[in-house]
Amino acid sequence: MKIFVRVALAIVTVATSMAAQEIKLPSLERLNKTAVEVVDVTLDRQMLEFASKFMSGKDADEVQAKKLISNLRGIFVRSYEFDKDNQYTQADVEPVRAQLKSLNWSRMIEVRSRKSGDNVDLFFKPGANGVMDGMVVIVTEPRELTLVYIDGPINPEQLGELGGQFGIPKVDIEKKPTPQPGSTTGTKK
Amino acid sequence: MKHLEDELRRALRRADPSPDFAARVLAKVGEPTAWDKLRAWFAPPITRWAMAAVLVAAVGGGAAYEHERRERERGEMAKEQVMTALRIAGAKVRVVQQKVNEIGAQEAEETNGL
Repeated sequence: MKIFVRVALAIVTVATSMAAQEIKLPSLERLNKTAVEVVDVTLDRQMLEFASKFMSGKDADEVQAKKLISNLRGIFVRSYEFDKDNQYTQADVEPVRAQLKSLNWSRMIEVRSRKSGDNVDLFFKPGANGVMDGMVVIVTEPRELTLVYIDGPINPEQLGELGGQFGIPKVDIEKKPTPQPGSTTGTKK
Repeated sequence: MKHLEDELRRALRRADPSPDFAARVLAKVGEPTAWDKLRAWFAPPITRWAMAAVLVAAVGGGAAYEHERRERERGEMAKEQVMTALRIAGAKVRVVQQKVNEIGAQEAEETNGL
């Protein structure tokens, strides 16, 4: 018997937020029926500010989180886990890639693995003074689909500071993988 | 039986009250009751206003406490959601890092193999 565990953390606020969300994540509610675990988080600026008031000044994780989200406009996560392969298609994420392309977001990392079937994309929106003004991560695996959209300024130093917090590794965004001709694992930039 | 009848007659015969009985009754009638004393205490307007203010403060205070409690509950929930979202984002960034490292290792292998 399939155990259907749904962790729904969606909070959809009334559209009174100061800035509209630039990237619209697709509605993938139809996947709720087949997914064994769903995480759906929508936090706009109002909710982030509200949550920030309740973050402890003593807990190291919360101190870092408060600092990180202080200038963010939103955090959006859609994550689905399945107990069988191929419960979704690339067409489900193509609308996001199309938006990012049309809005001239830069693709920093693209990994395609025919061997494992894992695909990873990391896009960022260039902002003023070399600061990232947004980040989108798309991870597609045979039994998992995850879209993460962070709207707002995240600069490379902030990412580095998060190393060790929440399990986020220190990412040197200046280092970009180069394409491998003839390799089963495609890379870009 | 006759003894019982005599007893009953003796118990139920009319007896004249004491001389000061009427005076005592009239004195009691004029005395204020506990209820009268309580009402007298609330008679001055200032007392009534003070009681009303206390009642309003109690009701208002209770409502404010409940509002505060619910706000705190919502805030804690929102905080947990933020932490969860950041953990997931972090985990996926780690996946990206892992893939990059795998590619780097593959490049190194191929370079060494050349």
